[in-house]
Amino acid sequence: MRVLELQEVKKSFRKNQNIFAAVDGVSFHIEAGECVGLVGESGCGKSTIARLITRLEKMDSGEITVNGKNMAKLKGKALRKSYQKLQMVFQNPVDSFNPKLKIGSSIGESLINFGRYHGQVKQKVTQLLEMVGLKAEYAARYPHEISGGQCQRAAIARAIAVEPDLLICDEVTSALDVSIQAQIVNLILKLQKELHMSYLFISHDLALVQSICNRVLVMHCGRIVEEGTIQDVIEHAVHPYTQLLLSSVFPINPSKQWEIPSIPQLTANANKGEACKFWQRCPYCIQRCKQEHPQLIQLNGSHRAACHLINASKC
Amino acid sequence: MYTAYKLTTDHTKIKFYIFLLLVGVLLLVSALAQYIVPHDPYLQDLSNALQPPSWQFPFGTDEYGRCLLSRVIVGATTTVYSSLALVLFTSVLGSIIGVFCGYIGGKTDAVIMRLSDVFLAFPGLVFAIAVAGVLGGGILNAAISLALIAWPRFTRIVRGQVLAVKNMSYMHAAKISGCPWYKMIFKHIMPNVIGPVVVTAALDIGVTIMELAGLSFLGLGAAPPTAEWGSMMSKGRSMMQTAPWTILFPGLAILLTVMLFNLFGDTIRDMFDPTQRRVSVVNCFCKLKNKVKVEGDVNV
Repeated sequence: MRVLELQEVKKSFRKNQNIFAAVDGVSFHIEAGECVGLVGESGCGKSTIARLITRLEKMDSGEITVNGKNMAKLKGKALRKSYQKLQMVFQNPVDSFNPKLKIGSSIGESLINFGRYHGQVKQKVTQLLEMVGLKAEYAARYPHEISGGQCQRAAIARAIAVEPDLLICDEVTSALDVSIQAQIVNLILKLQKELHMSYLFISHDLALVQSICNRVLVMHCGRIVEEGTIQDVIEHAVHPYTQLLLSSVFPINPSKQWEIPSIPQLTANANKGEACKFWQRCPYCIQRCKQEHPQLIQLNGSHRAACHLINASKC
Repeated sequence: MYTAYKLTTDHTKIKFYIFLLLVGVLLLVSALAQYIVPHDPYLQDLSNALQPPSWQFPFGTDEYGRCLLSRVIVGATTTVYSSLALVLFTSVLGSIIGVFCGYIGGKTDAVIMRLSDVFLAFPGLVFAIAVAGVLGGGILNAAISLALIAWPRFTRIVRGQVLAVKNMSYMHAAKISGCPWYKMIFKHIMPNVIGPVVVTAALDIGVTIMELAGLSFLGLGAAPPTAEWGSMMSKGRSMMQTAPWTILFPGLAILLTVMLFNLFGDTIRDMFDPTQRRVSVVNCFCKLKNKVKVEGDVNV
């Protein structure tokens, strides 16, 4: 069963006279129990997708179905109820807690709103805090009184409180330092085993996605340029953008003298016209890239990529 | 640096408690005015008319022989409590309008904001005079006219705050936690925007006392024989040269009360928002003292 399905989702933002397509025809799906990674550089539309799925932002066109329900058609009470199946963990842990509420009441809020665990909300909150490895006494603290890592654990506890089918993690580790990142990743893996949730794991860190996800989507300028299983994408990357992303991961052993290529800056008008959005930065750009934008092409199994070079090299 | 910050914070706290005590005393005096006055403030005794301050009448008497001290004390009830009630009413009403404007946005917001612009564009007291003129005299009508021009200030402050808070990620988190709109407003928005409102309200009390007294002075506020500082000053104005105490003591009462509430408001502001702290003489002195101490330590 598909927990989440996106079909040709589009969203553009308008600033003065300029229209900027943040998400430009994205389609993908997540099966039950699957963990899907969404990677890409800053500003490529990853977080916008998360906000579109959770209806924090309204999409321009396309269709988003969560558990078979069309999110765009839900209103008022039905929309609120749909959040029982869909939860999200935010990028900045401290900002995602109301500074005037104690951690415990923030975590218990969804339980109260959805009428779960009547009269036992406190015990459930304690249990949730233990699940994410926090002491029960943290429930009585304010967000500014605990560290970023602890806050992110509490945020995860809040998200899993209503036992959702789909958990969206929007760059959950990017505000944390490396050792805390590992703890959070281990926590997410542990919870995945215990609760059998599906994840949409948004990140710009390929190494992190590699250790968590089954499948990965690579996004560039509002489009998905490559998708497939972790092995396909990491080991047999086809799209030049994915290759650049992979080679720009810093080496663990610096004595190896590895040359880290920097990805050229995005130019201002990359978003316009029919051309492939990557051509100005692409080292292998051919004439065709400047004329039409490539469609996703099936390679083998679920591995797909959008690049004219695939045909050029294979044919 | 840390010590300097802490020192000033302690000073703010001490200042706050001192002013709180003084405001408490003022409120207590106003509440118990009827019981602590030495003479009946409304009893006319023409044989004692226009007596200068003496042991029997510490503030002297007015042209009807009424004890001015008693009238000043009783006047505090009228002035202070009506100002407090007025500020409370306008701040609550203005904040509620502001929260809804910021939260709903769109056309409702635009219409109400333009309306508030119109009210803000009027010179305050002139508008109040016009309204009081239409509605007639009396302290209640004066309060209504002042409320009409005071609400936009609160509305604008709160609306700005709501717009800032609305896009914080804890608001999104609250929405995803399934909060209905009233919980969003009262549990998540209100507690996070109320600080500046309290500060503005505290600073507004002094201004409102002045305005109410001003309207009474012009004869549009409290009607005689009600003891009210503004109208007492108005009466005393004609006798300024022959009996200066009739205008001096009500004036002093207004001056001290307004000053007290303004300083109290400043202190509340300092407590709520240490980053916008005004540089006061006391704080300067503290910093200087601390600087000298730190430099001394470095030399050692």
